[in-house]
Amino acid sequence: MIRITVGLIVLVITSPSLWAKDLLDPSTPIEEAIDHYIDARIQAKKITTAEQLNDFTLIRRTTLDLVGRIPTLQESKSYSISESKAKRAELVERLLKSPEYIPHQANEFNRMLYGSTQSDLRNYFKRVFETERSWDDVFKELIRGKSEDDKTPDEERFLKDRLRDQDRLTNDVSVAFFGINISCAQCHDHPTVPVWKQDHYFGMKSFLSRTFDNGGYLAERSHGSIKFKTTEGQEKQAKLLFLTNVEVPKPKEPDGKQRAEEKKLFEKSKKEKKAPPPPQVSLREKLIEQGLDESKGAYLSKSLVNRVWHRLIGRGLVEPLDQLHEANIPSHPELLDWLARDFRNNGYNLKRLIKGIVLSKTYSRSSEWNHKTEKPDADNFAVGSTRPLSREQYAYSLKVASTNPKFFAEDIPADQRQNKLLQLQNTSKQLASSFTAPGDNFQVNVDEALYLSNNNKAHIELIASHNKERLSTHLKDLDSPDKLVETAVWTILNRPPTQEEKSILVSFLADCSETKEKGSPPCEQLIWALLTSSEFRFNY
Amino acid sequence: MSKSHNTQSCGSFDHEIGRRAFLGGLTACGVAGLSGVNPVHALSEPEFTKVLKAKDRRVILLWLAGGASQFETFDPKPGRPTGGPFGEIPTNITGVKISELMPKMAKRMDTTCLIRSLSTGNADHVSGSQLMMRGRRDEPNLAYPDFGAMVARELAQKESQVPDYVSLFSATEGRRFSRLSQGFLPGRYAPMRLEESMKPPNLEKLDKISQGDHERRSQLQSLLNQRFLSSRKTSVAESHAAAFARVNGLMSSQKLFDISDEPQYIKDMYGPTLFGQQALMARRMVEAGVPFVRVARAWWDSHAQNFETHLELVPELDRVMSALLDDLKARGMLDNTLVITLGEFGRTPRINPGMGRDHFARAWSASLSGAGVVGGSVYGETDENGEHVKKNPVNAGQFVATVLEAAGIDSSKEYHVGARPVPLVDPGIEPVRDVLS
Repeated sequence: MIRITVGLIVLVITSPSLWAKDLLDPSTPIEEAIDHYIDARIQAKKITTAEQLNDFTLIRRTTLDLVGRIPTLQESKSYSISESKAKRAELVERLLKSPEYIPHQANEFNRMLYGSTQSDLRNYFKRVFETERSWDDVFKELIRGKSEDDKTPDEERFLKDRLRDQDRLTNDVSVAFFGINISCAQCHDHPTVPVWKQDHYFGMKSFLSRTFDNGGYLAERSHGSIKFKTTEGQEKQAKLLFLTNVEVPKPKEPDGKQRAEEKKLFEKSKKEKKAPPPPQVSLREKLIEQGLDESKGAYLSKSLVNRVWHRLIGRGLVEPLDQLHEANIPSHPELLDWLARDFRNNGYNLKRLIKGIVLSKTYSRSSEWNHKTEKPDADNFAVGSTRPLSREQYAYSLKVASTNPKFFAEDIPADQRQNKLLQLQNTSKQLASSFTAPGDNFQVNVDEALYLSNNNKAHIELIASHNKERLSTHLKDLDSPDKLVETAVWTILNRPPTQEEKSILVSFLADCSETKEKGSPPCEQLIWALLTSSEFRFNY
Repeated sequence: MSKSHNTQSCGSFDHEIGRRAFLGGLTACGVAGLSGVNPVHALSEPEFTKVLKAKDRRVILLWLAGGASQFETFDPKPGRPTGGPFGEIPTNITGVKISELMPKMAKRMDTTCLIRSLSTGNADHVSGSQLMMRGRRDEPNLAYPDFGAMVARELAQKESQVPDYVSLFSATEGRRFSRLSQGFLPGRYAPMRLEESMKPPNLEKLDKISQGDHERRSQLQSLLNQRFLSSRKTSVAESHAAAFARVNGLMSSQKLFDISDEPQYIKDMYGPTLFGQQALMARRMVEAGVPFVRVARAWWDSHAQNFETHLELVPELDRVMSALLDDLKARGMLDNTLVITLGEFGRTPRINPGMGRDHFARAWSASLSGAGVVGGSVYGETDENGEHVKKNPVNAGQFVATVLEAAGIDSSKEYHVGARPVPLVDPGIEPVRDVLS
C-alpha cells in the first residue's frame, strides 16, 4: 500500500513537462550525472548504502564487464598496489582499448538481441565494435539488412532468421530496439497498457509485412497490407502506425501491371542469384525514420540505455526490460531521460555510455550487505548486485584462472601476455557451450555442477597438472603450503586469502595428502574447490 | 501503474511459500520471476494443503512412440470392417472390454481409467508429440513446457537428491521426432535424457580422485560458498550452491539406473525386454522421489503390417504395464503414482492395402492408472467403426489439464513470463473432472 502511494506521487511529479527542463546540464560527465540522481533518491529516502568496493573486487568486476574475464594475478596485484590517483580511470581506458573488449561486447550484444538461441550476429557485432559504430547505425543496418560499407551479409540475418514467422519478427524488432513487447496486443488490446491497442501491434507489423526472402536475399514488395480481426470480430485494415502513435501515410500502391513487373524482376533476380530490386517506397525505411525520430518518445535511446544499465548494474532502470511504456514508471525517470539524451546528443556512442556507467560510484558499490537493517530494495541501487557470469565469461575466466600465472608475469612482454589471453578467449568457446546461457530467471543448472565435478575433459582442461600450462603444475612446485594457498587464492579469486581462510586451506591440503591414495595431488582438489566456488561463478 | 505491477510476481523458485520477497516483489521486482504460487492463495488453507498433498505424487508416462492403435489396445471394434483380426475380451470391470492382446490388463482395469475420445487434430509425429506433451502449440514468442517439466516444477523438492525429470528413449527410431523441452521454465526442469547410454552423463566419480578427496573438496567448496553467500542472499546465487549440493545425491542416484540388485522375481515380472527394464528403472526412480519419468517404447508407426506390429508390441505393453501397476501397488505407491499410456496419436480405422493403419488424431485412446483417477472408468466413446468421437471429446489441453490434476496440481495455476501471466493450460481449458478421484 505504501509503495503504491509512493508510485502515485512519482507519477504525479514526473509528468514530462515538469522535469524535462530540470535535467542536469548536458555537459555533466556521465558518471557524475548517474551518482547525482541515484544519490538524490537514496538521501531523500534516508537509505544506508553498501560500501564502495575494494581494489581487488573493483578490478575484477570491471575486467569481467569490459573484457569478459577475471583479471590475471599480475593485473590484480599491480592494481591493488598502485598509488596512482587516476588508476581507476586508467584501468577503464586500458580495458576499453584491449582487443578482448571487441569479442566480449559482441557476445553480450548478441545475447541481448538473440537470447540464447543458436544463430547469432557475433561477427556483425565484432565489426560494430572494431569500427566503433553507433547504435543508430546498428539499428539502421539491421532493419535495412545492409551496412554502408556493405562488407558482409551478416546484418541481413537479424531479419532473415525471423522471416518465417511475421509475428515473431514484429515482436523481436519491437523488443530489441524499442524495449516494447507488443505481443500481448496481438489478439486483443493490451491488457495492462491502456494506450496499446491491436492497432499498434498490426501497425508495427505493417512496416515489416512486405519483407520476404527472395532466394536467400532480403526483399521487399511495393504493395501489400494486412487486415486483422478485433476481439469483437470486426475486420480492420492495419494502419502504418508507430509506437509513438504517429501514423505514416500509406504510399500509393502500384497498379496490377506494375506489380506483375515487380514479380517478374523478383523471379529474375532469384534465378540469377542476385540481390532483388528495391521497392518503390520501402516501409522498412519508414520504420527507420520513425525509430530515429525521438521527439515523440525516445524508445530507441532509452531502451538501449536501459539494457546496458541492466547488464552492468544488474537491474534495469525500467523492469522488465521489454516493458518500456508510459504505464511502467522507471525507478529513476530523470536519470533515464538524462542518459538517453546524452546518448543521442553524442551520436549514440556505445563506448562512451559503457565507460560512463562503469566509472560511476553507483557501479562500484559492494554487493555485500552486513548491516543490521534490512537490505534496501534493489531499485535504489544502494547495494551492488551479484550477477551470474554469462557462459562465455565463465568459460574464459575458468581458462584464465587455471592457466599457469607465469604466462602473465611482469617479465613477459605485454604483447605476449595479450596474445596468450586472446588464445584462451578463443579456446574457451567450446567450454562455454557446455554451460547454459543465463536468461530471465536464470538458475544455475545441476548439469553444470555435474560437468565440473565428474567430467574427465573438464578435469584435464582445468585441473590436471599434466603440462606447464596449468596452474596446478605451478602450484605443485611451490615449496610451502602457505605460499601455495596464497598463490591459488590470488590467481583464482583475485584477492589475498583471509587469515582464517589460509588456515582452513592449509589444513585442507594436509588432510588431502594424508590419504595418499592414487591419482590427483592435493593442490588439484584445492583448485577445484576454488574454481567451482560461488565466489568464482558470480560477478559480485 | 499498480495494475501492471500486480500482474507480475517475483518470488523465487526456491521459496515459494511465505517468502518475504513476495511482498517486496509487488513493486521491487528483479527480473520478473516465474513463481507460480499466488501469495494470497498460498497462505490460505486449502491451497496449502493441496501443495502438501501434491508433494508426494509421482508420474510415470509410458510413451507409445509412433502412435499405437486404439483398435488393438483399448478401443477394440471386433467384427466391424475397421476392427481387424483381433477379438475383444471382458475385463474385471463389468461392461468394459479391451483387446484380447491385453489379457493381463483385463484383470487390472479397476486401477485404470480409459479415455476413448481423444480428438486432438494433429497427426504429425513431431508437432503431434509436442502437442500431446504440452497441451498446446508454442507461440512465436513463447515456448511452452512439457507437462513433464510442469510436474517436475510443481512436485520436485528444492534440495532434491534425485533428478526432477527423466526421459528414457533408447530406440533410435522416432527419437528425433520427440522434442521434449522445459519451455520457458528454468533449465533445472529440462529432462535428463537417457538415450545413447543407460547411464546419465557425469554421474560417476573420476577414478583418479579418491573418494576421500572427492568428499573433502566438496565440503571445502560448500564451506566457501556459505561464506560467500552469507552476505549476498539472492535466489540466483543460492541456486549455484544448491546445484552443487545436489551433486552427491545425484551421484548416489546412479544406482537407480542399475537394476541388477532387484530380486529376480521382480525382474521376471517386467520381462527381459529393454522396455520392461526401463519401466523397472522408472519405478526405482519414482520410489526414490523423481517426480516425472517418461519411458518411451518405439516404434508403433505401423503403416504396413499393423497387426504383426501390434501382435509383437501390445503383449509386451500388457506385461510391462501390469507389472508396473502390481509392483507399485505392492509397495503402497499406486495411490501416489499416476501411470499414463499415451502416444502422439492413434491409428486410422481404415486398414490400408499394406495391412497397415496410418496416422489418426480424430478419435483415439489413452489410459490413466493409479493416483488421482477413478479406476475402472471409461470416458468418452467412439462410433461403431471408431471413425468419430460419439461422446465427450477430449482435446490435448484437456488431457494435459487432467494429468496435472491427477498428479495433485492445480491446472488453473499461472506462471509469469516477464509481466505476462501464463496459465499451466490455456485459459478456458478444464480437466475432465469425471475421471478425477
